[in-house]
Amino acid sequence: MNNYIQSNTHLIRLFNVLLISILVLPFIGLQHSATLLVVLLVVFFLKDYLKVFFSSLALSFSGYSFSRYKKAILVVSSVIILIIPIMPYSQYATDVITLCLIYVILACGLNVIVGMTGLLHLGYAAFYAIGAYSYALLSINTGIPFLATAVLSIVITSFIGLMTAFPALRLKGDYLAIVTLGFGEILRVILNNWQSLTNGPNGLSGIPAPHVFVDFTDARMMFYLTAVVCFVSVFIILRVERSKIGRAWRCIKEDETVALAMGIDVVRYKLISFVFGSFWAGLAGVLYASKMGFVSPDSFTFLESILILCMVIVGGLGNTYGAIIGAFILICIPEILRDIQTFRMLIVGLVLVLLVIFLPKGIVGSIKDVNHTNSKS
Amino acid sequence: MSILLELKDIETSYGDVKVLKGISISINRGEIVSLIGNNGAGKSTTLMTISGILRPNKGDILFNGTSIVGYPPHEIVRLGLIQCPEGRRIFPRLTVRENLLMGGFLRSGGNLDLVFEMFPVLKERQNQYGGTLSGGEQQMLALARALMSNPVLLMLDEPSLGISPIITQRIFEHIEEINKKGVTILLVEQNAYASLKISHRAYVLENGYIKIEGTGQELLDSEEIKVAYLGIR
Amino acid sequence: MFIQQIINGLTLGSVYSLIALGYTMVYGILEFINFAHGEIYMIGAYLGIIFLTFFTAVGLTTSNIYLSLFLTMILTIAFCCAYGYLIERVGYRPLRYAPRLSPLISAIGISIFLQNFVMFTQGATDKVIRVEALDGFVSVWGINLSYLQVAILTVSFVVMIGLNLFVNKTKIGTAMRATAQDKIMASLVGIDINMIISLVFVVGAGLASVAGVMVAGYYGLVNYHIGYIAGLKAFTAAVLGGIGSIQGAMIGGLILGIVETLGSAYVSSDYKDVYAFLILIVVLLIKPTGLLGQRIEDKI
Ligand SMILES: Nc1ncnc2c1ncn2[C@@H]1O[C@H](COP(=O)(O)OP(=O)(O)OP(=O)(O)O)[C@@H](O)[C@H]1O
Ligand SMILES: [Mg+2]
Repeated sequence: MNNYIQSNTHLIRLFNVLLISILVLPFIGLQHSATLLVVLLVVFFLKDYLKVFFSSLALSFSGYSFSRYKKAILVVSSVIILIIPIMPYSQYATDVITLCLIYVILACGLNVIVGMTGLLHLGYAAFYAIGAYSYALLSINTGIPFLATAVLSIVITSFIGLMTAFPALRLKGDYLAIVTLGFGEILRVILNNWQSLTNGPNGLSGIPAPHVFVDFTDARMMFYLTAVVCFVSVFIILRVERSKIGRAWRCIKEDETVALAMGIDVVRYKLISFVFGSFWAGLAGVLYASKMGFVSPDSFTFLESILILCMVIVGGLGNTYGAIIGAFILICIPEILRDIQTFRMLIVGLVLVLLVIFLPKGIVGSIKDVNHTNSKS
Repeated sequence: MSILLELKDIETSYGDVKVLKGISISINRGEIVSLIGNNGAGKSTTLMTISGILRPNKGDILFNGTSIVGYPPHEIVRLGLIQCPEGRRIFPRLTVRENLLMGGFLRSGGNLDLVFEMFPVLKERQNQYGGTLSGGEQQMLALARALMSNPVLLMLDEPSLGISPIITQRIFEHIEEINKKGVTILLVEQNAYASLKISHRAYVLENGYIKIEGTGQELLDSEEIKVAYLGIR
Repeated sequence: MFIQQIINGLTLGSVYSLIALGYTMVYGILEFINFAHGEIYMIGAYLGIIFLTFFTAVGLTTSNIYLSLFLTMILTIAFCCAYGYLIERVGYRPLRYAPRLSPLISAIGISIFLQNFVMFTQGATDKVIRVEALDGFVSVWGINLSYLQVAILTVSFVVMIGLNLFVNKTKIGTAMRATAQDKIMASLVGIDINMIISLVFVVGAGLASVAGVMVAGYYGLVNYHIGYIAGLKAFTAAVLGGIGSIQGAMIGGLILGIVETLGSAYVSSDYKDVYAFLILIVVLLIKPTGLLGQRIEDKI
């Protein structure tokens, strides 16, 4: 790079740093703003080192080949699952991990739609909500046994997925995104306002726990149930990913026109993807409702959809293992930061930005890249 | 004669695919130089590299003796290296007049009358959207737009593409006329015969290498060129 | 009363329009949904209150209310423009050539960050403001227009006309349109597209901040999450009008405001957030490019 351009960039960066501290001034006052300026200047001069730090983060995995590293995930997760009952029992830890597993299902399901097929879906939480509310309503109001209720709820979710997909899939790219987003908002408002059915913002409580031969009221039992369901789900998704359907999805994602030319029935495979994705949202919803015993519209906001999307992207778009890792990271980071409650979301936001900038292909993608270059050299 | 632009051992890639594999070209002030070659040889890539849209991974580009590698495209335009890219790339939803004004973005107005004098068609159509012009008119507009910025070196990428022989001839006349006014020209063409005829010197690009170089007449006479590019046996 | 409701709807709608313009301009150039845009509006509302409080504390408001309001507006706009510039610079520019979804995620991160930054520094409760000088009404043919409504309608109208002139008549505005149509060609004629992109963010943020300040005065209270829902609706307005089209955003915003107000008044106010999305979905299904939009596939 030419010197004059480089010095120019430095000047601009310096200017930006100054600007940041001025911009926050009205919010945090002179003193804090000055402190921030000092901190930023230090960071500014260490910026290049930070970059090295982040890439070495990816590099630290580079010893593993990707397949070894897949095994590593399996090993680690099995160990976690074995350890949990042995460890001094902590209801909190169990709950968090159960929640993680539910999100693993959600992230993998959304990954089918967004990552594999390339359909940007911004209302996934709505389907999660449909699963949860269906289960809640059916189990509270009817006496149908657990398994039947669960299946029925999932079927309802998938069916609604199908019904929305029909019109939505006529739209392309960002329009699909906005329609799914709109759908999510509409559903949330309905949940909030259809008092007689959903009990509005207060939500539904007293949802029975799962019952298959035994009651899964205990947090540990629930954890095992979720773990089993989660493993089976991931297994199925992985199988489908490698099947003819999965290949068709990838083809559509790469280039729709080419896919059409190759004789792939694009609309049909998009529908399948959408419904298949909704299916997992329904399943996760059932697990969530039955674990919590309580559902309310607050759990299914737009932010929730975004959270799940972020899991998919943080892990590495289109990669099921990535989605799993993403789910764990995005559930665990806020939990770890729980002690600094007041600004944990602040940090979550910041981490998201840093992640996409410094690990643009997601965590798994970046590791793959590093391995790729290593094996070449 | 002084060298205006010099490419030294330029290598450019798209991702992992290396397209220019070390090419050196020099253009003297006041010349018309053509760059010919088959489809996919890397001609457009060469121009985009000069214009700063693509970044060479090796080599140097000297304009008036100073390196311009790494300059952002608008800085390169400011120096007077103007490209009229392949496919014309008229702004479809700007009027003809606006297209021309954009051509002179870095100069304030001025040239408009001159350009209208050279291309009277454009004057008639100045309030029409660029996208509604015919292919030939669009090419005129593209040329006119490039002239708006008072180029020192004008790089033309296939100005005859998809244009009838008569208009093509007119365009080539315009090119010579522009050159006579002191503008150095780098001409990329499929139409090897026509371009070699008006060129002082020429380079033949093949698979990312410079295969042959010489004066326009030398190349017209060369057997190799006759067979490969002029279709004469 | 019907006419009254229409006026209320236009007031709300012009606010949506102002915000929608930022979405549509950014989309026009980068083909990317700037999800953090709603937060600029929220920050604008907060800054308006913070500056006005400051001016009141130093006594300027009592001595010259109009100067105080004017300075508040100017300062807020300046600050928000800078926010817009910085967001692009820090959060989006490094991702210019990244896969399509990356800047979207970055935008979401920024949005979460800004919301929580404001909540953290200003508290999670509503912030209330009352400008007594602006409390009055004018009555025209039996329709009551509050001073603030008049102000909002006038300012929005002037700002939008100004924007139209800027985009269509000035050289920089033409360069903006050229950049939206073909970035590479734009840089080949010497347009600094990074500058243009920054400019688009700055202008968009400025418009949103105008909306923010006026809304803070209109409703008299703000909180840290007003940016989210207003942003969503404004984006809806932009899509409704045809994303990428400036006139589209203006019209889309007005339609949305009127529909929402009429819907709340005559159908049910519980579902006031739904109307926007319902229209959106219907319009997209009938005319996927929005009312004034170009076909999006053209751009690929
Ligand atoms: N954006 C791109 N991404 C990847 N490869 C590219 C890209 N543009 C060009 N190429 C490849 O680079 C090579 C050279 O392309 P270039 O456009 O420079 O050829 P050219 O000599 O101008 O051909 P033509 O006469 O057909 O215009 C081709 O093989 C082409 O496939
Ligand atoms: Mg070419």
